[in-house]
Amino acid sequence: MHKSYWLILMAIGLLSCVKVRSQEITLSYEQASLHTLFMEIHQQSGYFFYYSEKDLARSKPVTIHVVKAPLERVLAICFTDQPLTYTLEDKIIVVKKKQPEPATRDTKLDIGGRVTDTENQPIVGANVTVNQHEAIETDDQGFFQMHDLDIGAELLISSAGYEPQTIRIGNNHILRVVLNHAIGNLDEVQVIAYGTTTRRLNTGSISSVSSKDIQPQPVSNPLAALTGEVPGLAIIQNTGVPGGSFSVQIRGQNSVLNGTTPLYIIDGVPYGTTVLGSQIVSAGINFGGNPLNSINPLDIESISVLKDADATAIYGSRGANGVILITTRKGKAGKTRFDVNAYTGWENVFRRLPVLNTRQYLDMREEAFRNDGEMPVAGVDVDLLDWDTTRNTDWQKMLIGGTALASDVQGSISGGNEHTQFTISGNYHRETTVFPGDYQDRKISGHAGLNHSSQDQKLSLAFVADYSQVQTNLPVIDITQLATTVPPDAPDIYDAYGKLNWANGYFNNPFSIFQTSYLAGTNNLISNLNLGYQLAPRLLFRINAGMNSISLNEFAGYPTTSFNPAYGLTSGVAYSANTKLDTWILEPQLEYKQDFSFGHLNFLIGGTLNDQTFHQQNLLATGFSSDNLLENISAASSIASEGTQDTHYKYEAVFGRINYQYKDKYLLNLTARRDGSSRFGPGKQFANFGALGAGWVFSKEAFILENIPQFSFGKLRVSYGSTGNDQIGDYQYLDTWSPSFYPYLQGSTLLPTRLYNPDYSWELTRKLEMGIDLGLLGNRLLITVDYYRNRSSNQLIPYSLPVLTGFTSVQTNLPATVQNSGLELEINTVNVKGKFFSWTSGITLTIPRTELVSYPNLASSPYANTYQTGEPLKIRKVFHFLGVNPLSGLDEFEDVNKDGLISYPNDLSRAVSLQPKYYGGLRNHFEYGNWSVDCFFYFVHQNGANYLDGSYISPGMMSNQPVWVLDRWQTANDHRSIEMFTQDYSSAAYGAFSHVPTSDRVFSDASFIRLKNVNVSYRFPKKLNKIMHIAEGRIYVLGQNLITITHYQGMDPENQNLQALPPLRVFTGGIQLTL
Amino acid sequence: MKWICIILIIIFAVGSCKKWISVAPPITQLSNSTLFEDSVTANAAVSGIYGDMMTSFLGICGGNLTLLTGLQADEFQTYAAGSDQSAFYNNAINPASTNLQSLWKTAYKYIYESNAVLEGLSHSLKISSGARSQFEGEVKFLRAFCHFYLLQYFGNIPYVSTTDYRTNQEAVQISRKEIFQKIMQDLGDAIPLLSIDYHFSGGERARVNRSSALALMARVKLYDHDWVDAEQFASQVIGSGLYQLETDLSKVFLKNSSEAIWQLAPVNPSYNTWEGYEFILHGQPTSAPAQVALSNSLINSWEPGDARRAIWIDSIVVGPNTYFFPFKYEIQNGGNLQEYYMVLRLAEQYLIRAEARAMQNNFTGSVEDINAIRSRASLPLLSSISTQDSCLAMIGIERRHELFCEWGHRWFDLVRRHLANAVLSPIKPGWQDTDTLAPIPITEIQNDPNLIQNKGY
Repeated sequence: MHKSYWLILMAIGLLSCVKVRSQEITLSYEQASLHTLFMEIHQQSGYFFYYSEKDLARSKPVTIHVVKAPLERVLAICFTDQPLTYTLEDKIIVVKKKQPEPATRDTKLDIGGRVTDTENQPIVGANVTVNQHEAIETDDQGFFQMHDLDIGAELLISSAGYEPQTIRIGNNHILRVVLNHAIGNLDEVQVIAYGTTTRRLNTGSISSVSSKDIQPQPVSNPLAALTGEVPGLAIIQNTGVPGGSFSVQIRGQNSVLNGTTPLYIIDGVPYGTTVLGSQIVSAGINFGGNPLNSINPLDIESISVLKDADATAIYGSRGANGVILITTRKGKAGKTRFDVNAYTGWENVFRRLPVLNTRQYLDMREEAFRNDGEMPVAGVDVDLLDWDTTRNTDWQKMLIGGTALASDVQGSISGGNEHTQFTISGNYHRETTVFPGDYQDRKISGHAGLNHSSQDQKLSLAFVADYSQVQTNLPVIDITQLATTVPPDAPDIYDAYGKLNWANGYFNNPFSIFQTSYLAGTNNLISNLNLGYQLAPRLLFRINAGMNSISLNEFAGYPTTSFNPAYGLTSGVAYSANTKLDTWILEPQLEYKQDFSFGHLNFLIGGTLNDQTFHQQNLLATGFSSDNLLENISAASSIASEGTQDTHYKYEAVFGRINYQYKDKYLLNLTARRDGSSRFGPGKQFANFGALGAGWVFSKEAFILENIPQFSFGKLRVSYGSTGNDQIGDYQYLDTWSPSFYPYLQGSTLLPTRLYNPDYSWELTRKLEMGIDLGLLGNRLLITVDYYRNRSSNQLIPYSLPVLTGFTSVQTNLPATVQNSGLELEINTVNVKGKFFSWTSGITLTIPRTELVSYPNLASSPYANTYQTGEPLKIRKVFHFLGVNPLSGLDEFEDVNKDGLISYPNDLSRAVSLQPKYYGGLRNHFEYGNWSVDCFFYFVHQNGANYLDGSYISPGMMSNQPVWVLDRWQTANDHRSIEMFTQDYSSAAYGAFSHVPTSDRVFSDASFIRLKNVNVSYRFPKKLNKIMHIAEGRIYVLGQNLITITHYQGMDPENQNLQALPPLRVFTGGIQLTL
Repeated sequence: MKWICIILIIIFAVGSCKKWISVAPPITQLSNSTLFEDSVTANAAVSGIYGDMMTSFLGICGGNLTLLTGLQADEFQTYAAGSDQSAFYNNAINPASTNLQSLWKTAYKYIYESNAVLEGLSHSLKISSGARSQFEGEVKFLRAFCHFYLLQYFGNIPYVSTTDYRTNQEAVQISRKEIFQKIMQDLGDAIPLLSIDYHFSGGERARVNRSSALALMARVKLYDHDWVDAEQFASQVIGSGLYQLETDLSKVFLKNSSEAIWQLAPVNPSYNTWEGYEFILHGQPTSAPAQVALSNSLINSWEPGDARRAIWIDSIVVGPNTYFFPFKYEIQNGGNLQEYYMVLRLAEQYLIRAEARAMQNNFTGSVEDINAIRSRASLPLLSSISTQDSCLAMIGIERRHELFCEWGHRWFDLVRRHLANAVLSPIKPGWQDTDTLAPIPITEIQNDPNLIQNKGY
């Protein structure tokens, strides 16, 4: 009988409002229901009523006419001749049946109460269970009520993120329960697809990074703060230029040729995964940038990385590459808070390439001429014959040796009451560069969040808006390569007249690059509204409506002063690109929750409509009468289109999830999605995806509790399911014609775009996952180990055709299979937790393995020399370097077919894997009194491309070289790593050297350990806060990329690119105040 | 409950509407169905093929055919030892050659484009019949034209007449006789469809008209030993009144010259013809792709006083060496368009008719036609010839000198008249009988299991 008692807490008012309301009540009703009267009384007095609907159904209607009557009198009228009675306690009126037998009243008790945290904030949705059954949840104000409990029964109150508490029922009707925050992060809220969970109860593989790990990092792109933090998430910063690009992959490369970027969702809105920057404008400086650069890291509350099928299958054809959910800050109820955070700091290149000085350089050149039996030629070998050979310029110091300044100011106001919370913040971030000159990247952003729930709790609303504007001003080309190759005896940058010195055209002055300018302006607006309505006590209707609009205007100008006058160019050149990406999404959902004695059931069903348009136009303008007019395209005498891209993508889906938790012990999660994408042809647009996840919290089993009490927590997880990858570009299935490059006889021309094949569909990734979560020593040691195996098939690959079909290939699904498997480890420990000193650690480790399992007819495909079955996708097929022949002094390579020649592709005998063997991070966090110190090491064990990669300029030519080339062959029987110097392209030595860039000689150990982050902060003591009239205060110093331990032969082992600025070392100091 | 049902219906409607998910083609592309409903866009699709032919030197219509066949025959001397190009000079073509692949690939690409237009037109309803006939005639001509060169160069090849890759990827070679039949069928279809003059292209001779099809038909008939028809088609072109032999030899290759039947208009705004760009020398012939100069055997073969030797050949002296190069196209680069790339011209029609008449023992008629060419070259006129052999020999010499370094005429003449062995084996050390046909590109053999490699490769 009691089970069917479903209690409604009516009239959840603002506690603060109670005080101001009068206790005198005015009512005038004929034959009104008690329900109506209670509502009215609550409105006027602020008193709460607890009652059962069932009980109330038996009540009689009441006629009442009172003016300014006291509450007691009004209640007396209401309860006259009713089968009900009431008790009044602490502003709560508990209504119950009249109990004829006083004996039962002694042992049965009705309980009401409120659950709060240590800061007196209500805990919503906390579980209250009696004797391990009959669970209910606290409401939005933290209230709960239970009926007819036995005195002496045990109440267990638990909530995510808090330590559970047990209370024995005594005589008190009203309980005040205060829960302490939990140790370890087992119960922290984890954002998942369309909802939240905790590490304790989830069934999928999800890693979360919270603002407390992101905030103390002086980064402008949130991706930079994730490096090494999340097992299975590989992030490479491609350049140290502000606003530059990142490569991001979750659990390896699933697709042989198509997109491998994760799906980013910011507050429910899918965010651009495409590189927005134009190939022809920004490729040379920031590689097209990264869309997440527009997001202010300080506005982020948490980032969830969803990895396995259980977590990602609900994203269907977009989920194969994993999903990154970014949730921004929300306001909190309570006193209005003002927060200010400001930092400033310095950045510089901390790993330079050790290059030859002038003496060593000239010796190298002269030795090369001796080896070749040649003499330097006037007008060609100007570094030896014309230039002042006593000069010694450190070009790296000159070109990339500057100190960049970074500064950031963030201000925010947040607050609200139980019904309405808000937050508003603004941020200004500015970074200059290490290049000489006035270059900078400046970001202004604003964030607003509003949450509201109606008085009756039926309607809820959450609104967020993020806007940012980024202005970038950089040179068009990254100077880094020149900084390491310009001869050290090169002449002065400026001539006697203060103009760029071209030394009669023989010196390609590197400062000419600083004459060029890359200007970019990005505007980004993300906005989302989430409306919820409680249709019935257990049934919630939600609708999520969001939009994102990004526009990017880019300009690259090359004035005549940037050209060597020897070329005789008389007009500057300007490239410009306008890019716009607009997205909207609409997701209606219906959620049903029910608690049974046999478990907790959550059922979700929803739909998605998603629309995305992309437009990019590239222009080339030439024929300017003056360099000053480059930015004014109408001043150009010739404007040509350099290509237009215009795509429209539509996506729709129905999805559902059934989550069942039995006694928090047996967990089951079923997800399914049917989706349709405009990227596929008719008949292939729709497909079904789904996954099954299960968890077993074995630590709750009696036999574990009894036998291995050290396990404070233990869970086994397993999941299996399918996801798709639709990152294949738009319109590939269409039978279309495109404008060709040139007109014919002044008339426009069209050519068939591609071979028409409407019959292809998404790449399918089947993900298997097994994981174990362990908590030891009262959860002070938390260990998560995951094994995953993702198999991606149905690869969308250009299938090679005889060219007599008109094209070399057709887009089609091939049964090629890529397998990504790996082991992920995450350990969090609380080493010391005391009143004054605490020390926590976190370790992540990923051992990934990608393998191309099969690829039909690989040998005759265009990728015969790119991939190899049984090997990772990230390989290079190369010649095998045998060493420098001690007699001839020449590089030697393995001649596989013994034809006396080293020829491509016959002698490509080695497949070098560039996949990391393992990577991870180690974090230590110390707190002592008001001091806290956080340091984070990032490590990678890998093979990488060294300084010889891609260089066809042999040591000895007119280009500076790293000092490593000094280990060269000089005379017979020298055993050296570098062959004899040569400066002649037709020499035998060069012939041998020319194979080096395509040999395994260019790959060597690129492992490194990097002290990625150090953060020392001091929290102001309370006394000081009082003097300063602030609530809280903190000062801090931060360091990034402080130490790197590596044997890597090159500039930086992370981006492994001599043509791009390496990641910078950063020092900042800042202050954070809360008013 | 009612609301729940409505919401569920909305959710399912949201997730499964087939109509909503379909998107219009991008503005940067035109769908096949709309393109051929408008004569302006259909015209752009036909123009696209001509433009495509002129985008690069390396394609079969850009100049590479002239270069490679000139090397295979006795027109060019290579200066790129060890290169892919020198293999053509040595008549030892590697089936994996990129140049070889380029010829094959581009020819079939133009064939695909022609077929795509033809299929598009067949479904189109809204284009006027006049425009439609012209377009259909042009693409049928172009399809025949490309197959003709493929046949001459590679021997038996598949005749591709659909865009369906599922059919084409298993295409089989057919016999020379069958290919000729299909070429003649296409040309026969095209002749009545094509416009007589050039009004449809604004008077520019840069697209094919009826005479172009007749001229190619005359050549095909000659190659097929159908002397009567060859003479008859050549006569139709010569007698059409549209063309005269240009008396000033330096003006023959100018755009819309009076003897041009069909020329390709250059498309790259920085250049005139690719041959002008690649063949004209300013020093040693060292810049790829055309690291060539004219061969001694060609230079030494001229009759004294031949104006073509003086006007169509130029030279440069570098140290002790003199390098000769074709100078039919005199402009190396520059955007001011003065020269178009000649494909079919009247002089060839005279030589076709001369040969066809000789084969029919009409020596008087034959000599008349030969003299038309000789007189323009400022050479003494022939009085009379009494034997077929001497007549043919004379025609051979005139063809060599009139048509040198033009679209492989020399090479195809040597092959079709079975003279290659006799002429080339003394000067090409590695010469083999099977070298008259190029190999089918190796990747093509790999990707189409039905293709059979030519003998000798």
